[in-house]
Amino acid sequence: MSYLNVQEVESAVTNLATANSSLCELITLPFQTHEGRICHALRIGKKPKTECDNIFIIGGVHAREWGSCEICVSFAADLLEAYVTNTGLQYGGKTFSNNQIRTIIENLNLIVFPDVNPDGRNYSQTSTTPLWRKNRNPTAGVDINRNFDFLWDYPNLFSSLAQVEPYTSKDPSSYQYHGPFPFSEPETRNVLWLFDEFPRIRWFMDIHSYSQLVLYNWGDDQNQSNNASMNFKNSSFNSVRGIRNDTAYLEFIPACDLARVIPQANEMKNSITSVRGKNYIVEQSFDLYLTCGTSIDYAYSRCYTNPSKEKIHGFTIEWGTDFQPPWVEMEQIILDISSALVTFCVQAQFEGNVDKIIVKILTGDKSGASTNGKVYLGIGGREFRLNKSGNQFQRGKEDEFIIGVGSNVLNSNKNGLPLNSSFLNDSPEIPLNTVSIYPMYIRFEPSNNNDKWNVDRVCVSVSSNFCIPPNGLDFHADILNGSNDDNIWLEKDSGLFVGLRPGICPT
Amino acid sequence: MEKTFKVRAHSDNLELLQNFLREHKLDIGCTGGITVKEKRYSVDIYASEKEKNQLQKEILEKGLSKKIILEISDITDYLSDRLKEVGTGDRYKETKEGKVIPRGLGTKVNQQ
Repeated sequence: MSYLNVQEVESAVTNLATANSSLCELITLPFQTHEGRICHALRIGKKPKTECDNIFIIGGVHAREWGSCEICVSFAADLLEAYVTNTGLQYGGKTFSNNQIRTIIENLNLIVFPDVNPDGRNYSQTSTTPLWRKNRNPTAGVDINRNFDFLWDYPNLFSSLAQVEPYTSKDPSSYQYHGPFPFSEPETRNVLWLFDEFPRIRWFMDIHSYSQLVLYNWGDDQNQSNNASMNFKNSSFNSVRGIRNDTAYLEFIPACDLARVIPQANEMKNSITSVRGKNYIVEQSFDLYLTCGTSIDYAYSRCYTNPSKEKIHGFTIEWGTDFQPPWVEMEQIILDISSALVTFCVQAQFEGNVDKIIVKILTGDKSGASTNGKVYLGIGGREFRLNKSGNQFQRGKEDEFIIGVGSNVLNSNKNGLPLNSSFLNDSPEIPLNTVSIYPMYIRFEPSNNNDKWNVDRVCVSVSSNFCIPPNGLDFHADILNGSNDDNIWLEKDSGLFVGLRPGICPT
Repeated sequence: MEKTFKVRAHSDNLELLQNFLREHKLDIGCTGGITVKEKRYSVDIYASEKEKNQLQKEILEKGLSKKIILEISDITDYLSDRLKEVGTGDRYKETKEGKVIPRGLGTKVNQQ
């Protein structure tokens, strides 16, 4: 093998789709490039795109970073072949089981767009300028990864002291020219089209070179998690945004998102190291240098700009130490990064799971309110027994039950997944999306025909390391929320269920 | 093939190096930014012969030759060798035997 030319990337994508028609869809992108090329992407996965979460991977944004396309093609081909032949995958010292590959294909959709900027790649590979970076806009080449709609208008959105230039420029002759307006280029619009066409994209990876880095959001300033109003949409910070090591402006990212993306990036880094020992560094994108108009920040910003859109966590891998390493080295880099990408997908399957449920139940302060009966929580299409050591459901007392991480219920090992990943512990076997699909309730099973239980308040809090939706998942028994004495008795003669509805529990 | 150079610029003064980068239209995208090792700041720049000469000239004219050190490598031949590693034609073009399906570089293993 050797580096693929532009036609070969196209043929590779087309042939993979044709040969795996039950697993693949060939997507024709709507916007022709300046030189008239039509681009294609692959959707890989058994489920329809609307029935599962999607991962979006792009390569070839910068023309000279040749190997990014080959990484995408090799990764897609590996997954498809391994699935069809029911095998696992090995990249050097890193191995993925048959089952891991199978569940990726059956539980997720991957959208792989290997060559976002084919005009630029072709120019880089056939002209006397192999280090061409931008697209081939005939007026002035545009840096596609500065043309996304995230703080694009930097002269008006950043401090004049911020080091935006030279890493982004409004000068058409610059190597980092951001274009005449956001999404001005067909290449950027094709990526945007895929974001819109696949509303269940939850993870995004943009493959670049070089520097051996795994980068996460944001790129416009250092992160902070304490002040949600200090964010990229807030124009009152336009004059102070982007200065390193000051406190006048820091970009907001929820702590739970950071707690999600940093371990995820580290898992990819560790996966790369396992292949042949390469030591990639995980860092915030801004730590590399200040950027605006990039793909990963646009991806992550979408849910803040328009709350109806899914939250998409964006990552960039900067592979290798050279834009165009000798092919023999590039082959090894393909193994490194493929390992990271498979890990990325394996993790994504767990992301959608509930990992902790906290149930607080207040038994009424009435004569005969206590019970020795059994109490169950119905959630996500299954039930969990709420039972811990010692007395519970006693008159006037509140009990807290934890299922999943930090579990305090008896027989919790029967509730949890037998995970072999260190990523989540004792996770209840509930996909997060099923929490809103199935009814949630408390069910009482009296210890005898005369047993009854008086319930004053029920609060349930569901959490996931991925911490979606942005406002958390809280449920409560609405029927018990009146200001009057609205406790209810659960007994065989009157009824045994209390339904729960979304909303924060009243105190 | 145009002459192409990889220029690694070093300085002990971060601000000076940042201003130098800001004042010139340099090709520094995705080259790793400014790194620091033992209080010495460095950045990779890619340059044509004309750009490289201009950089050298300005550093001399501004009296910066001891404050910004340029480590210059001619990578023209290296890039030329890489261009020879790009496929010609279409290795996946349909043949009499049918379509040629790309294969990934990962090893397929039976790992239950």
